[in-house]
Amino acid sequence: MNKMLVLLALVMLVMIGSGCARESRTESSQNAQISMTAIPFPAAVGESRLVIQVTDLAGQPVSDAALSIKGDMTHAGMAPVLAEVRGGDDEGYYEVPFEWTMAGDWVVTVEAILSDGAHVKERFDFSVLSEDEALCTDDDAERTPVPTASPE
Amino acid sequence: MTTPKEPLYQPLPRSDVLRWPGIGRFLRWQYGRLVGQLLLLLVALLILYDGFTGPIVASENLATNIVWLHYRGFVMLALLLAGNLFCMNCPFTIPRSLARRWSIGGRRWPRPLRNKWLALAILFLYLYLYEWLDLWSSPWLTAWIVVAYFVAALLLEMFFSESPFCKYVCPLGTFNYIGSTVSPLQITVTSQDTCRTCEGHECVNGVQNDAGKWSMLGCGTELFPPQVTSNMDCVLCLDCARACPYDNVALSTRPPLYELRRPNVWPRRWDLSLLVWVFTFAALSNAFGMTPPVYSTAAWLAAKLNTDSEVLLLLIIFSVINVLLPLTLGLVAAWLSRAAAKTGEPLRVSFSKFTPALVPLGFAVWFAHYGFHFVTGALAIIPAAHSFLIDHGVLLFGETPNWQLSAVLPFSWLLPLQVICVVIGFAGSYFVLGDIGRNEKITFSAQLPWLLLLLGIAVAAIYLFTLPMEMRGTGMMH
Repeated sequence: MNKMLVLLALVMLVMIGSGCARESRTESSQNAQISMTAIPFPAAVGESRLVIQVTDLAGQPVSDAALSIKGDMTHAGMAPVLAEVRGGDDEGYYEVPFEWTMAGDWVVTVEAILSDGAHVKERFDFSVLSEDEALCTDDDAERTPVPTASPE
Repeated sequence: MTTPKEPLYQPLPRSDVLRWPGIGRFLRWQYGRLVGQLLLLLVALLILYDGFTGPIVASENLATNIVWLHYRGFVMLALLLAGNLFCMNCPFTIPRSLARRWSIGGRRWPRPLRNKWLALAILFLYLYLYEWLDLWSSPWLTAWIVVAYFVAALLLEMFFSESPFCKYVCPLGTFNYIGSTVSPLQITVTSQDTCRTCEGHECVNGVQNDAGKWSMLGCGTELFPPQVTSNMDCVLCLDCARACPYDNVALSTRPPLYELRRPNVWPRRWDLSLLVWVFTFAALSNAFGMTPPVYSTAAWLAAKLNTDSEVLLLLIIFSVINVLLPLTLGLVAAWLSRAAAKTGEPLRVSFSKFTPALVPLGFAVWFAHYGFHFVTGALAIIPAAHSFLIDHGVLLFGETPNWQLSAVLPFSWLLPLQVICVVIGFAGSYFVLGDIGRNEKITFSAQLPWLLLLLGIAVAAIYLFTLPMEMRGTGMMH
């Protein structure tokens, strides 16, 4: 019976330990908000533009941040797509060319360094269409950049 | 105690790795295996730690890099160049000694489960869960898989006297057993006569000291070295070599595809044969799962069945490709072959006797797929490790990981290399098919259904590799 109890305790320990440690180690301060969309949207394989808006917690635009963007496929080992942009327009919009190199699910991480040195990080999920799928979508999509990418 | 009931077997003497300078001595050393296991245990602990606490993006986490890139790449290379090196160094079986000490009943594994049906079901379940849960994309689930392996191995070792986890349950072991049938190394004996006169059979039974404690374990999967004709079920732990009081066990080199070409090496059982078929067709489905047609197939099925349940849709798709298709095609080929050969043998025999011919091609398709991921991403572990160090305050290598590091070969080389892999695999299968035909005295017309089937598998694999990749898997990341 003692052996069973030791075993049960081991299993419980692992379960509790893993449950407690779910949060990521890399936390950043969140004194600004980031939203993003891709043009065209829905995103499709090939050249694209990312439009990112940075605002402070009061909703006022932040136009002097430096943004680093990293697009990852969901499988480890696939080369990420990187982009950078420094300074946005008066409404806090930043625009940067971005190439979706493969169809499927992507995670785009935007890290903003604000003028006071604070870091803000946000992740967005994108489903990128293949070229064939993109042909079937509405041609008007490019003119309607709706920020529908879901933040983490 | 186990005693041999079958005739002893001794292959032609070839080079014995256990006699090689340096490496041979290390492998025979009492703690030789433990060193390798402890190294992989450290890796497993790192996977657990980073999987549970690290970045949620797969490419940034060591757990997903190690398991879904490096483990799979190195396993295929090891199987091709040496043997079942992962099982040899498997960290999940470290608790084996502990489990033996704690052993609750020491019962034998139930007789109805002493076959490959359970392994087949678990391999199928594992491959299905991989697709449904997008395991490759989740460091957290990847870490849980490692936990599950440790717990399952410990529990089964505690409740049963032999190593049922390795032999009948572990999907990694099952995969490696089949893969290792193409490997160039095999356990055998130096002298058949020594085994014939041996009474203790320590290689299987282990060695106990006067106090009744185990000083050396015997073969966990209960293989008797002079009767080993196949790498199937051999975890290459070398416990047999360490336990043999006569130093009579050898780890011998063997000619390419040797066991697949020899007659009557594999028992002609439905479970074992079907396992090999599932292994082969799963190589196709695993690659298919990351291409656009899987989406259109799912969408078509969803419309037909009026459901959007991914669980159900993927279950149907992968049940068809991994089970229904191989079973149907295999039985049709067996029936046609039997009719052409004009023999009255049971369909099971016709089905089983050509099954070894599938292995080289199935292995080649897995190799091409896992090799693709490995060569496109082998270096990605460097920025992931760098990021890991930065997260822990180690800034020795700078503060910015180079995320662009990933491929070790130009992308344009990959498809040609994959095609070459498949062609070599097909040639190997053709070679084995011919040898089986000669051994069984079967005419070319009776071999033709199998040849066409192999050709179909090879063409399907090449077609899949030409498709653009389309990766799913953000659903389970959060």
